[in-house]
Amino acid sequence: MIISLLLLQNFRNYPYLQLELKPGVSLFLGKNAQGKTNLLEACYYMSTLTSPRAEKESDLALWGASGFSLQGRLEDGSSTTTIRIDVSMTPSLRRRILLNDRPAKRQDLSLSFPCVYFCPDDLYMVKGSSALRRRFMDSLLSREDPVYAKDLSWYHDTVTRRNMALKKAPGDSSWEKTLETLEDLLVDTGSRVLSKRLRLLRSFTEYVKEAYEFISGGECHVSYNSSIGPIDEDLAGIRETFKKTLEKYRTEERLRGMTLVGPHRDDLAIVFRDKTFRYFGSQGQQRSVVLALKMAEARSFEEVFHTKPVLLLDDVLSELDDDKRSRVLSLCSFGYQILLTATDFPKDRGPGFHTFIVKDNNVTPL
Amino acid sequence: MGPKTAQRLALHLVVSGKSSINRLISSLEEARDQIGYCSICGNLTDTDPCIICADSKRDKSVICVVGYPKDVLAIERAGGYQGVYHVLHGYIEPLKGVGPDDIRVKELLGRVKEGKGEIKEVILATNPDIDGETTALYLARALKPLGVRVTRLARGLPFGADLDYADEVTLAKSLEGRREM
Ligand SMILES: Nc1ncnc2c1ncn2[C@@H]1O[C@H](COP(=O)(O)OP(=O)(O)O)[C@@H](O)[C@H]1O
Ligand SMILES: [Mg+2]
Ligand SMILES: [Zn+2]
Repeated sequence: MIISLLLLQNFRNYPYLQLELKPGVSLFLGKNAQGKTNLLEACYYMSTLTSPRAEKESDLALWGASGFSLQGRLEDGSSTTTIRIDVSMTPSLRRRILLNDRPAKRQDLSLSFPCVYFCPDDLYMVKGSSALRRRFMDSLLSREDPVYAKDLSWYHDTVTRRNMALKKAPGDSSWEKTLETLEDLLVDTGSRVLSKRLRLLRSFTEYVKEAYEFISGGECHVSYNSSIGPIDEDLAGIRETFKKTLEKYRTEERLRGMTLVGPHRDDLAIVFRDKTFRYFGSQGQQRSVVLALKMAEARSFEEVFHTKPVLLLDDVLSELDDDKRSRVLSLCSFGYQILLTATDFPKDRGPGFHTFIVKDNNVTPL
Repeated sequence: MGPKTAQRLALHLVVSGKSSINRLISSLEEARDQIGYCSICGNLTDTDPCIICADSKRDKSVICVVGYPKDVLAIERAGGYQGVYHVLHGYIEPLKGVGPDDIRVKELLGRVKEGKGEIKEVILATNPDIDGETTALYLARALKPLGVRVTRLARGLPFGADLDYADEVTLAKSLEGRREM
């Protein structure tokens, strides 16, 4: 699917902006701090009701405005969908979501407008802490499956409560019983989370491998590293393993007042098999693997939503060498619409390449 | 009472002079002195036992467990429920350091034990959020060995919504469709 019309009202630095977009690559070209990222952010917000960089909605409204509105027209083959999101902040945060002028829910958004966002900070996914890789999996799965999002949030809430109970339990029988109850909840929600992560990995591993090969010609393997021990996606098996592992950590968890095992401690392991193998890989390998992860995310959305997501690439081209850059841009020939920001013209622009100049709160086609 | 209502009330009192303020204070004091907790179910009441526990037409074999007195009001408003209540006055909230001994859990278990088989069913009508669920699971574990049927409100309630915000039809349906725990 593609987004063919984007309309922003009081969003970031745009009091009012209407933009016609075409299939292929749309390049937003401009100096720093002109509002290029803001355009991609608007798309991402329409798809997820979250921002890749702002914590709260009030950051997204034009300074001084009490809310903002975003509209989009989406085209998928012969069908057209309109999205409208109105956000007001006073007296309290209210969001109104309209799909084809009818009220809709958050989870309907990623279904009609799946997006994959990629920015330079995503590099930390490879070299940074495991929390970033978990967030990547969780964000992907939450958008594909609202039940996952709910289970995950219950799981995290249970962990914080259980940590508190672990501190109180020693020598207190009713807190000890509370702990047993929280453990039931932990195992219930945590096992469902784990099972879905593993089911994702079944196809995802292959997607990453293929994408990495496409970009760099090298070999790369991702796998799930669980803190509860080796598991497959079978729910009953996971539950059993989870319980056994908790039993093993019983004393240590009470001593430290912390839940030491579970999906909140797991990792997505990345292994390179190029000749130039190094622990984290070279800079180039790191860039390629993040790109591969994002392309795999796109494949996964395609599988689940039965349509190609829009790729939002923020400032990432300049970091890639010529060869990789042209491979990324060639993705549009596979039917992906790409919205791209850059400060300089990329060398190799093929057909279906549309440039917009972003300057002084205005976006004009070149 | 919300802050706006309180402000309007305060303004009204200032305008209407001292004697009306004194009258209000004394009627508030009267209410405070007369209203207490029902010794059976823990609900707010000006008689002991409360009118629900004292009502011979209510089915004493079914106890509906709720977090707060406002939840009793909500279920009564929805209508259709014929049993009696047990008000916990809180939930198990580990983040606030509130454990089972800090709410009326012992009293509930005592009621069921002393009922010697007269109590057939306990309906857990705690909030469908995480603390409500924890409390329900805790109670289910403690009640089942006592040989009583334990049920939970059906998931008709909006996720995370407080019980007293649930509209009446949803609440009545949720009670009807309760499930075994
Ligand atoms: N809430 C807001 N209201 C008005 N202007 C904003 C708001 N948030 C950011 N801006 C402005 O937007 C510009 C940054 O936009 P951004 O899209 O990040 O730039 P870039 O073109 O470098 O990607 C800055 O000029 C900033 O002052
Ligand atoms: Mg930018
Ligand atoms: Zn009573």
